[in-house]
Amino acid sequence: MGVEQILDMDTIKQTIKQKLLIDRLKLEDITAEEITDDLILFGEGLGLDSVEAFEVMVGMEELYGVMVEQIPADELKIHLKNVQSIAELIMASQQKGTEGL
Amino acid sequence: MNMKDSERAHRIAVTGIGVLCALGNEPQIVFERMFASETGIGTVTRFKTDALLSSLAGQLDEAWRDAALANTAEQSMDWCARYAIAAAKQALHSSGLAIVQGDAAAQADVVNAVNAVNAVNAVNAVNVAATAAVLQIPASRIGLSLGTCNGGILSLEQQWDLSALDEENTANYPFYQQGDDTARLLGVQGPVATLNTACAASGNAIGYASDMIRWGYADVMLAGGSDPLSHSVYAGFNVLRALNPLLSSPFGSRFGLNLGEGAAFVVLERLDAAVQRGATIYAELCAYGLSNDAHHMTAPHPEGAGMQRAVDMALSLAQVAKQDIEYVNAHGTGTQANDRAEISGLKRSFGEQLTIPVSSSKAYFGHSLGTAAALELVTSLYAIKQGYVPATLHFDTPREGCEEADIIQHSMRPMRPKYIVSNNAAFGGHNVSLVLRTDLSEAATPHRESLAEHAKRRVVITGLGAVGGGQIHKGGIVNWLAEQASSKASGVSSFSLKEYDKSKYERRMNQLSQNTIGAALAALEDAQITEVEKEELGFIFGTARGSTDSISQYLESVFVKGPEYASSIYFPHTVINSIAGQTAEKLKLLGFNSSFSTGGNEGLTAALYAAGKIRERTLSSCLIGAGDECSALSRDIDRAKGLQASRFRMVEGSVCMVLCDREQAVQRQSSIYAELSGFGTAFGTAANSPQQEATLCRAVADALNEAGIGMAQLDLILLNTVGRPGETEGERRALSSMAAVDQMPPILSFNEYAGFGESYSSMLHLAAAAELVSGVAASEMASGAYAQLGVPQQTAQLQHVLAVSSTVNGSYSAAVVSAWND
Repeated sequence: MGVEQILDMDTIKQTIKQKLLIDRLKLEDITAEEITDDLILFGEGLGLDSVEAFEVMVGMEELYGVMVEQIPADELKIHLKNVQSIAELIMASQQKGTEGL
Repeated sequence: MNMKDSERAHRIAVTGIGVLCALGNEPQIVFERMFASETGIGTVTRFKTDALLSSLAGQLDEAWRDAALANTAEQSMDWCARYAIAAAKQALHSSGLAIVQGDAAAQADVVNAVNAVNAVNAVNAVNVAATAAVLQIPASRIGLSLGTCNGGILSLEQQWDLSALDEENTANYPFYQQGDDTARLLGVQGPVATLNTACAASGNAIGYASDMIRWGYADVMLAGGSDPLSHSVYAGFNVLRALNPLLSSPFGSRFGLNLGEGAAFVVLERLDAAVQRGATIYAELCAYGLSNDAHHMTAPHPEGAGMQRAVDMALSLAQVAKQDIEYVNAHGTGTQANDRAEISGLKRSFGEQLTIPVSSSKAYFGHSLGTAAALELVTSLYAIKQGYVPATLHFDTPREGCEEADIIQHSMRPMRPKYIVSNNAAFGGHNVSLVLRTDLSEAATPHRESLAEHAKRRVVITGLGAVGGGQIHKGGIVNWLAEQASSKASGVSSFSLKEYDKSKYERRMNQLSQNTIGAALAALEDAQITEVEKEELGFIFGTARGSTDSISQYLESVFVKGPEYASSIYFPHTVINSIAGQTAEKLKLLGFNSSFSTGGNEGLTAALYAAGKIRERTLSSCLIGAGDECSALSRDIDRAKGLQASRFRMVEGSVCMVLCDREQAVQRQSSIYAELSGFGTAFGTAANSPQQEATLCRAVADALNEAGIGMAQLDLILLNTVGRPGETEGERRALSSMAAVDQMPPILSFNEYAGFGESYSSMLHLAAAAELVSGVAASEMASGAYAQLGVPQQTAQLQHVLAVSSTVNGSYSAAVVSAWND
């Protein structure tokens, strides 16, 4: 696989903010620019709830093929903390996916 | 009737049971397999589960499914109705009752029938059993209430493409269609409703059925639940990670549930009638309690506070002491959220030292959703008759919060409990608790108010609110209708709850929830209900279809992207009690809560239900509501139901009203619009117009009878007609046949001005009736302000207005709305 397949971090973050959060969850009164990389997504901060967390997970699978089913719930919470941690999870998964190719 | 009989008159017996589940298709087989600690849960074969987290469910044997088709295979119906028909037929057969059709039968009532049987028996004792086995119930005196979580969702799944829905299958989708098809096939003509409170639905249906008998609207009721295993519902639980990949162990160490399917029914009748005819009595249904968590759309209140309120209500109404409850059949789904919260709720009700044996039957046949309450009740009652209570299979070690409870494990426990409690909880926060007396050896007679007192308590309307044409109205509904009539302007914009009251709004809130919460806020404000009063307020909501927009969003995700990509945020709205649930959550309505569908009579049915609860003193005030939403899916359903041929445009909107006990309303100096003085309801099918007209006349006659007036005393009739060709003319003809020409009041329909919505229009006409008999309307009428609507210009206050509603399938309800004379 070519290098162009490996996504850069900024693009991923931008996609998470716009497509995974704002469009998918139909967030109102907030723009991608207002979602900082370290804004807490669940509970406080953006105030997303557990049902929305599942939607985010499905979105990650749909957009990036990231499967989080095998990750234990406690660990998953850490990965879904903010845009930065989600982007890192996606990056890690992409690299894992391209290893050995 | 001696004293004892009059006490028994409104006590309810369970005299028939029917069951269809993964363990079997009749009670004895199911019992034997439960006794052998067998589970019916196995690998799903009906659809692919490769991409999902679990592949287990409690499916029906294919041969039983085929048997459920018997005699109805050629008819177009959803599997939900087919399952229900199979279980309801079984229940009716086991009760020894048969339904007799025809006018002659309609003249008789069940007490006469019982007396007749006894007279025959006295003469010919040999024939006792044979005669009892064929005791005939007039069709008009038997009703049916069905609980379902997902209605006819399989009829949409069968098409798997929302962009090209056909008419035949789509017509079988609506929730109310399931209750209607079941009633039609059984030949029932009394009150019919489909309760849609998700996983609490059949418990609510059984409670509602007992009310219909106690309040005199029926002598016998078939009540139960039905939900076939659905691919898209399976996908929804999958995305919420609620499925267990292994066999579920309620209260045990492994989190997650296994889904099930099936149907279960009971036959309810008056205890005195049951005793008199020598029926097999499985239990006495003492009382039921309903509540709402008002906490979250899918997760239960973490401490089980909602469940506690339902149990406490049921126990208090039953007047049974907590120490007399000897067994609790819990909801016990196995999910992380439910079981712990439920045990906590039970502790809050029964005390921290929870010593009552508890079990969950779900490990036998899976979580059968809308069927769960009825299935778990029926199988518990049958087992108790054999001297056992059900166990919790697959239990290993108790999970946190469940350590001290006496969970009946692995095998049935030999027990003959005096009283039992059966609980269920649902998405949307709805809870139900049933209290039953299962030891029938002694005539324990919890004392309850007599029927005579029940009839004395009067119900008034103290608040009105509506969202229609994109506008919100706090009272002033007739004025708005008059404006519509003069301008013919149709509102094009949608009501925005976010702009009206942001604190009650949340993101993605569908239009029906926004409209309903808006209408509820307006009605509560109009009635000047305080925050404290709100906690005790009941809330009964009717919607024919729920949010078809949210339902489409969810199904679209499953059908287009695939079940593994099911949308978690829309899944909770595929159950249509989500509207009532979200309203309860936003307004903190914690008390008696119900949600149902009839397909056009929602407004009057909600009023009947609430008025009954106020008359019998379960509630002192109740918020009622009804609403519909327009969407692409709703237009497809309109087409399937022939509504595009209606003379009215299809619209969306919600109406809410506050009903109150008269004494309380007077005491708190509420302004009173009107009194609700009589109701009637009759099930029919729109097979032919003479039949439909007869159904209308039956509902109207019953309402007039309850109000103690005749057609001649009516000043006005508000006819909420569906408006398909010939329909309105037939209805006018039927009404005209009930009165002499010179005594016929004007008949008006406001759908011409407001448009038509199955649930919305039904309550809009009731609200308009309430305003028209109020003192406020008198001056408006005198000035001719309502002339555009066809309301006669007169100075005298109207005394009685009759509101009539029909369902799209041909059932009718009627209510007499009377002037409030201090």
